[in-house]
Amino acid sequence: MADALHFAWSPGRLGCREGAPGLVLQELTQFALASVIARKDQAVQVAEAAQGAFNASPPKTPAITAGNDLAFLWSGPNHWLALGPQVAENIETRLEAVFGPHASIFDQSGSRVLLELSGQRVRDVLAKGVSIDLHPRAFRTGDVAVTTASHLAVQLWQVADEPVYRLLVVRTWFDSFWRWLAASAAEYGCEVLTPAPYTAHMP
Amino acid sequence: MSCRIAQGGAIDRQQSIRFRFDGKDYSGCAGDSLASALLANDVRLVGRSFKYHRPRGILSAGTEEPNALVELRGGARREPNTRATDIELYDGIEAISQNRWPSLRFDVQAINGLFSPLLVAGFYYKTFMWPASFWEKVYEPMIRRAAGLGRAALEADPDHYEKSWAHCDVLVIGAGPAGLAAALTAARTGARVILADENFALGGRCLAERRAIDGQPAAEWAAQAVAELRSMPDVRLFARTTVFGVFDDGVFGAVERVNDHLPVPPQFQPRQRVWRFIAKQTVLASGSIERPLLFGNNDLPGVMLAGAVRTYINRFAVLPGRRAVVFTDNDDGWTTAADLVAAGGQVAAIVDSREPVIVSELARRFPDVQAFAGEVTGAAGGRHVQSVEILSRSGMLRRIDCDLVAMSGGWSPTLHLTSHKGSRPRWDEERSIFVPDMLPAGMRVAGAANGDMTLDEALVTGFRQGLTAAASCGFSGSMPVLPHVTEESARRVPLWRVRQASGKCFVDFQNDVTVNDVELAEHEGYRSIEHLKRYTTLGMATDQGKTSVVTGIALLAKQRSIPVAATGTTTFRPPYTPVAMGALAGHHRGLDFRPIRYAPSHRWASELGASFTESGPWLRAQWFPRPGESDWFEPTCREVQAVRSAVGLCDVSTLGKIDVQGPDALKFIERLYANNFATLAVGRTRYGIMLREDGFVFDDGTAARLAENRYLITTTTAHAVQVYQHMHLCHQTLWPELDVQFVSVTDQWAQFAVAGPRSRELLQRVLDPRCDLSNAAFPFMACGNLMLRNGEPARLFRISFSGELAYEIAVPGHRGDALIRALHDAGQDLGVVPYGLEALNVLRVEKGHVVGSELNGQTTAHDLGFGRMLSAQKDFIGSVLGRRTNLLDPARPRLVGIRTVDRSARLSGGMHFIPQQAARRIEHDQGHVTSVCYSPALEQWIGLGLLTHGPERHGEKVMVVDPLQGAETLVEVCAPVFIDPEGARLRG
Repeated sequence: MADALHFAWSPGRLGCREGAPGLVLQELTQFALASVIARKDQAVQVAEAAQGAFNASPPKTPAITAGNDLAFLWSGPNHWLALGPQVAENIETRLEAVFGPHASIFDQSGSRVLLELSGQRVRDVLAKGVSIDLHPRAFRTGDVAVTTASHLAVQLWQVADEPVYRLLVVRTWFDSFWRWLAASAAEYGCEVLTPAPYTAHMP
Repeated sequence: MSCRIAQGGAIDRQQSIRFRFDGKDYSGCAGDSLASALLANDVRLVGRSFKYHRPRGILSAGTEEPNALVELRGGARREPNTRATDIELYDGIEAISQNRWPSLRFDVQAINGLFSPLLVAGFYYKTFMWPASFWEKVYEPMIRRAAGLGRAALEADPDHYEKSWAHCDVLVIGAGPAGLAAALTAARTGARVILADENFALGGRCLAERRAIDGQPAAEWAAQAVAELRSMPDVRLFARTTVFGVFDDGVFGAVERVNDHLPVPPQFQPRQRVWRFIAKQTVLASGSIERPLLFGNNDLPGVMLAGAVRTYINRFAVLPGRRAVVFTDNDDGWTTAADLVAAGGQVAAIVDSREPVIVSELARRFPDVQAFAGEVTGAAGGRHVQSVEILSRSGMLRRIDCDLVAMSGGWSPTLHLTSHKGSRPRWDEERSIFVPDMLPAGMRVAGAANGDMTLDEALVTGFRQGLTAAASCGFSGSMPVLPHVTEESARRVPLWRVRQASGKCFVDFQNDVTVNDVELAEHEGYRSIEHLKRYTTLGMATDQGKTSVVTGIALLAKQRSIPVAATGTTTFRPPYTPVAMGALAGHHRGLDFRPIRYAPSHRWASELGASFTESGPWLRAQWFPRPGESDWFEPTCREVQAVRSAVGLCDVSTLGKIDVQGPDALKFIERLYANNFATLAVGRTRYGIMLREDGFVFDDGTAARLAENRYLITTTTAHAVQVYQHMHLCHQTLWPELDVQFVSVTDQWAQFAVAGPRSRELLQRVLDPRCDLSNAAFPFMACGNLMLRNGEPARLFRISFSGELAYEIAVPGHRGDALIRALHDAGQDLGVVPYGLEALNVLRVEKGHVVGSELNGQTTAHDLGFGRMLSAQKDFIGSVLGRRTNLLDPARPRLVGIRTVDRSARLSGGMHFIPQQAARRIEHDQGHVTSVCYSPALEQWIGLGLLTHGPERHGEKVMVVDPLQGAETLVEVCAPVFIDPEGARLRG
């Protein structure tokens, strides 16, 4: 596939071949990602600047807020990941122009692999490595979790009720993550789609 | 001869299942356990005991089974010590008996029984004392061979195991009447419920008893309850799932035997799955376990627990004997007599140890059966019980022929899980049982597990506890109309032991512990139950004493003439039943034992045939062999020479990288590092060392000032995580007032060292032609943002670990692979070589750069020659404690270089410095060698070491000694820089 290190994954069906695949997996490429951390006592100014530039306020709780071509994922107190499609202008430069002295910006576009996960058994697959409760009563579309999957740091969020999840994995850990995911999905069958350029999820 | 009853039971007579036990073919029915199928085929002898090799049969019908342990499956799937009572019969199942030789029927070591006076409690401390030299070589192997259980498979397990998490409001453990009732009321409120039961069929004793609930058979009531629960979307039912442990904060460990009922798991499916259930509230409905009675030869095949006899009759439609004697100290034993009669069996006698008035009252229901108020003193028989001797209260001794003894010493609540968090159960004198005392947070107990032994009590407490558990999670509901059940009685007068037993009375069947052993241990002073347990091994077998511990405690109490409550109890710890290591490991074995971190150039390096080594979590290239190079030495020397003469490429992305920004970034950096950074200009990089609070060196690296308020700092690969944690600790707890923000960007930047006299030339070929790399524009220690020829952004640092003209170039992580290939391709005519960790090490030893071997947590900045770097102008972490007098002592082992006097001699790391003339003894030790390598430039072995008064001793000759391998050689102490001490090359 496009960018991930991956030694053993390519588009196609894996594991059980009967019926609809329990997990459908797609790598999303060509995204821009940056850590945004509000400077001391500047959270309000950060929110205002984001509202003005992107029509989105960075969330105060573990959630994602989507604005014009950029979304903010909660990563910690006064700490977010800004995620959007890759454009000509470097995301660091772009966000520095928006936030000025109110926030520190760190380009992370190359540090993670971004996946979209769906399918009938996606919750069962994730439960094999993610300890948090993904039941619809506990985790809904728009919720974000900074957690681990099979002991590896991930950030995941729900983008649709079916459910559909997106997940960021640290790039150099990706191969181990993939081996766990493939093994965990095998009993339900897993369809790996051809990677696609990043777009915001359209229900 | 079949012992199958013609009708009834939860088995499918149409579905015949073939199985094999000890090489012989049998058939059973779907719904059978291995134990019930064996009994249906009249197989009574299934194993030999642990110590005395006595013939043993099937004692119970459940998880508590101490006797009927078999090896299941064969080859790599061989699984020892599985309980025949728990194993669901499947087609083609193969089991063999354990601990017998040459065969189950004829066992040579049964002769151990004759020597049993030698094998009493603590025998291994007494009998095998002398001579001491025999302990490990003779006695232990001998004992181990004789006393054994099954054999583990020696091959790797071919199956897959996995772990999973599940969350709920209410976890119900046990799907008997109480558990089903609790799950029903909890689920009807809308709460999320998990119901788990270790058996392959849900229903517990509803399946085993001839009882009616609201006029329908209990098994049907259970089936309806299960069907209702199954229909609810937020209820998850787990059969074949043992909740084996209670952990902190509502976390429970459970193992689901997903495919143990098949010879080989279906493709892509795990054999077992370990669950972590996370529950807000729990209802424990784990039922109870019946206790054996202690009479002579109570371990003979054919002697069974009375409740198990009912299970075999009612659930499995197997009559475990034709002519039974029931021996009981409670009312429940009489139910077994009734069920035996109802199933067409013959009850030769009922022996009840209680008052004759009770016995005669109960006996009215059995006009055709002899009832005795008295005791069974002993059973007799060869490989199977053939008769019992009865001593009535009136003193009359009778022998009665029988092929089944159903015994009941009352039921103990299965309360193990209530004490996993540390509390111990409480003795209830009135009912003569231990009951749960302090419960883990959020846990409630229902039914027999709480001592509420009757069916109506189980249902009532189950309904109620399920409802209150759900209410605690914010869900409301109401109590259902209580179903009607017929009355029953659980009266008991405990008979802990028979007074005039003839023959061995076993307390712990699996570990062959008898009443005599318990008494002897008490005589010898083992009066605490914890000591008694360890001395006699009572309760220490794989069954953890499920049928024996309570009786053992009562015996000790009797022996010491103290109340049971004062005797205490042993501790229950997870797991409740044995759990396979494979299941606990799950996916994480072999290549997946722990996560592996791959450097950005990994694919490129593996295409080049690199040899890799583990470096922390990373897999890093060690060297890149070329055709004809068979070991590490040749490629390493070649790579070193190429860097010194042309140009080399090395992936250094594994170093930790932390981007520090904000108005107080400099202040923060200044406090973290021991040396000065205030004078560092934008666009420049500086080497820095961090100390721990105690003044010893923590880590080293570089800090590059990328902008006015922005520093990129690097850490060693080994300490990347600790340094990042340390920085967060400092910021969050020591200096929260600092306006500084930082994140790890280790993965964001793929970084490669481009080192050697032709490195500038090579870089110019991949960088935008407008980039000026001249000394004037980009001098040693410069850094900056540049552009690649293809327009992509990159960062360049002119830093050198090799001592050559060198750079490190960084691009975003996902572009690393492309960049390393571009560099490699572009430099072919320049003689570019990839180099690995070994060459990297040689290059840095030749330059005296320190790494983990020297930054070993015991060295100070002074020891390593960095004393002058410590800033006197500022305060920093470690500055105060680093000034302690002893840490400044010049006699401390300090960094030096060494080279062998004999140019052909070899060095090895860890050798000790000893003065030339001194004896090779510890008191003459003057430090040790930390790093060694063969230097291709010097054509000899060189090294770094920590030597007392080191810097003052350049030119001196010292012995280096390896007492382990008996090696020693003379070395000359020198400055720890072997190549280009003036640093002309790196400024070139």
